[in-house]
Amino acid sequence: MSHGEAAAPKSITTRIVQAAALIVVFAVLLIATRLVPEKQSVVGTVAGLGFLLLAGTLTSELMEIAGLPHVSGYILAGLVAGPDVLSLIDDSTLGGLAPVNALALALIALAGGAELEIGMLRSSARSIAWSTALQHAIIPIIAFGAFLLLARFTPFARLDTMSLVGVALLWGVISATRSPAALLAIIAQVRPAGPLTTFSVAFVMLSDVVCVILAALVIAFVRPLFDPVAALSFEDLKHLGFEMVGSVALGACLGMGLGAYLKLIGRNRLVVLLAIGFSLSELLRYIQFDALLSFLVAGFAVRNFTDQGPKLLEAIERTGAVVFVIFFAVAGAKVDLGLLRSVGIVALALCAVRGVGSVVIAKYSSKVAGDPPVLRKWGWSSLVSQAGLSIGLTVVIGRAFPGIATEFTTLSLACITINQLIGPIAFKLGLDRSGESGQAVHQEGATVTPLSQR
Amino acid sequence: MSPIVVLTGLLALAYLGSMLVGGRTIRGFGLPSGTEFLVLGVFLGPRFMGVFTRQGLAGYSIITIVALAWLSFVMGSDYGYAAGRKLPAKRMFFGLALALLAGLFTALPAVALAFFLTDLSLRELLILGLGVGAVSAETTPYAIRFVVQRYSADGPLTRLLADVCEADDALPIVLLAVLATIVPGQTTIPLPGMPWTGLASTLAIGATLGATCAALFDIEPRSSQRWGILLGTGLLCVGVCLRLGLSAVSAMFVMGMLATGLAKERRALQELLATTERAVMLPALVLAGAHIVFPDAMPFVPIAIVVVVMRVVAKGFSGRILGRTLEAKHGPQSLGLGLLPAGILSIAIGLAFAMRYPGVVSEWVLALAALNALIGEVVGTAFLRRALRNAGEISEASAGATPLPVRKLSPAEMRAAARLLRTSTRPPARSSSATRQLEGRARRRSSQSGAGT
Repeated sequence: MSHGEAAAPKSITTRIVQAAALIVVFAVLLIATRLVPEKQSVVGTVAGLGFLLLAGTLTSELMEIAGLPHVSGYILAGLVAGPDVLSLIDDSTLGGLAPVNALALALIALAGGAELEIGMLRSSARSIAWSTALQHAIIPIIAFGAFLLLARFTPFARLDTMSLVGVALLWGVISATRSPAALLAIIAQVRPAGPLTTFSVAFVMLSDVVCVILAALVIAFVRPLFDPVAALSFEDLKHLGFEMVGSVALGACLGMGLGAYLKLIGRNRLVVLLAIGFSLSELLRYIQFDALLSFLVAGFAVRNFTDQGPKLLEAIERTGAVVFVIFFAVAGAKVDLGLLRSVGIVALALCAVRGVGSVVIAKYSSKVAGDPPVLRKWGWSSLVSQAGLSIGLTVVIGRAFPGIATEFTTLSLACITINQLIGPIAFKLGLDRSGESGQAVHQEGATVTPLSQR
Repeated sequence: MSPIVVLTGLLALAYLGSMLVGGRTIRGFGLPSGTEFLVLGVFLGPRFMGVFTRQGLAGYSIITIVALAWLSFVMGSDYGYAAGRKLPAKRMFFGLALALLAGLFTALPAVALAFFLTDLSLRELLILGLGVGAVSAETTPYAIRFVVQRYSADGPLTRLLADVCEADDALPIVLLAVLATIVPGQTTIPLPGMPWTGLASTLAIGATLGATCAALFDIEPRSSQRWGILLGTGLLCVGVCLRLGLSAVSAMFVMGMLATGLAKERRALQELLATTERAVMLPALVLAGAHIVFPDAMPFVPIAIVVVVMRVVAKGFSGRILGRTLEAKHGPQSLGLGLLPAGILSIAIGLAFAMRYPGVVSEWVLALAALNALIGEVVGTAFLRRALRNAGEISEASAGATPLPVRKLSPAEMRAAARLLRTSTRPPARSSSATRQLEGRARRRSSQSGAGT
């Protein structure tokens, strides 16, 4: 990954050293886990963290040779080390890495918010408005229809019609989600600049907010379909409103505070970001606010209401070498291959419908909005990935409807897995083919500049 | 208290630690190794304020171990070097021999006394002996750096002391590794061919990952990626050692030594690691302070008195040997007491003992480590200053100067000051340590401002 620093072309010697180091890293943990097979979660977490960091980085570097994005390398390293293949990382270790994942998500959301600049949003407002409206209105409907059509091949075949409609509606929401983490990881790697990059960042970040609201609305609407006694409750909407407003307000305060800190003191940014990431993620979880939204707003506030945006981005991008690797390697390790085998075909079909739908709608909305040719051709490329938000909403839905939780989570995770494998490759392909890859480095040297200034 | 709140508190301490060193605005306050934070930990601990509870500390044991191991990594990376130059082999050997002397002087009487006063088992006596030896052996190099920085000390004795104090760090680490392999802890998994396979495994893991770290560091010019390499190899080393029940602190020390020994970019690696030193050290000291249990007066007090007295004797003897080495006409009388300062290494070793071998003996070892550090830093530093002044290596003006801070210099000002010192009346070939420090400081600050952390 570049993370604000230009990556030099790698020689054969470098590749050999990386391959040898990767073998050593795998061998060290393999020997340790075979000698001591007992599950010791805390100890395993430390070794697992170090291993995923190294193995993820090295695999991604080696996958560069094939032109694949780094994200794919992180996921592959996690997948190979995970419980289903070499079992170097066990389930308890993955559980122990949850706080690190929460921190990663916080930093990713902060970076995402800091990439959004009002001027940039205004300049591509037409494209974003059309895409947001069409993608979030039509994709859930398409996914809903596909789900109903394929229902008899899913574990939900036993459900009555109303419940099935409810599950299909929930599926529609999950299908509308995208992955800011994958987007930012690819951007950090290839340092792109141009209309496709600008549009993708703005759309995906905005989509996050829309999906969180959409999910809460659909959950409230769907509840009576599962439980005939339950009525459409405005309590849920009230709760949603409270959560949204609270998250935005807290995020704005955090952003202003962070901006003031960066301006007045500005030192030890890494430690400050870690403290904020850990403590606020926990606090927000405790008070049931949306952490993603809060950090997104905080980043947005720093970017737009202070002059400290570049500093914040630089600090976050410097943590990227660690944050993205862990986030995606953990995601890779969590991939359940047995699960993929059991619902793989249905999941693949549902992903295909979502993918084709996204491409067609992206092309149509680009046409309606009068976008430049590059956006018309490649605007869809950032819309395939799914990761953190999708998993988060799946968990929320599982909690809200315990009766379908296992089956829904199984199918959802299978689809997310497929999309997180394909999505980054698609986006990198889009950036490479559109000629935007590496443009930021050419424009600015090695410094970090927000997308709007590229 | 919530673990997240404690973790945030520790991060705040890390922040404070970085500020204290990075900003230098309050340079002049505090003890060389920051032992006052150990006292803070004692007050925050279960005995007094209860911010850290026993349960909470147990829950945070893994963070403590990782912090200690990381400090060991930093020390290992700097081992064999003083002020950027490689130590002569003779001085390294000398430093180790003096540390061994202090270790033996303190450990043997302590074990003998414990044997007569208590009914400790052979295993516990072994832990006590090696533990006492390990926490009493070193003279912390922070004390020397502190006096050099604050009073601009320079001369043959200062350099000799700096070299010897840098060299003696390895002994406690070796003792810990030896003990970890011959006396299994509660979590140790018996490896075939123990105990020596354990020691060999500790060295092998440290060496393998150190070499890997060096190789990757050299081919990776981006600092963000370099952080990932250091963090990844470090955590993997700690995790694997803990899984096998080996000493993570010792393996990380070896890893640090190998990494800097093999890396072509040794200076960059050392500078990168040095920026984390205080940030990790202060929370580790606070946690160590919170872990300290006040043992019952009997038989701890007699053992503690014997250890402290024998350490003074051993260091006094070492001081005489050092004085003779330099053939000083006026051998510095207070040099022996000036070798008393003990710091983070002793504390780290004591804490590692306490966590590996829970029980009364390791509580004694940790308490003795704290005692050595407190006495050493308060008394020892003053005598060290006096010894160097007597040796004529601290000017009267510097010795009497207020230690209160001067204005913080920007990197550009640092560079200008360094240039000015280089072009002053002194011959350029023989730059003073003050010049070297200023240059090093300027380099560090510019790299820090570049790193933004």
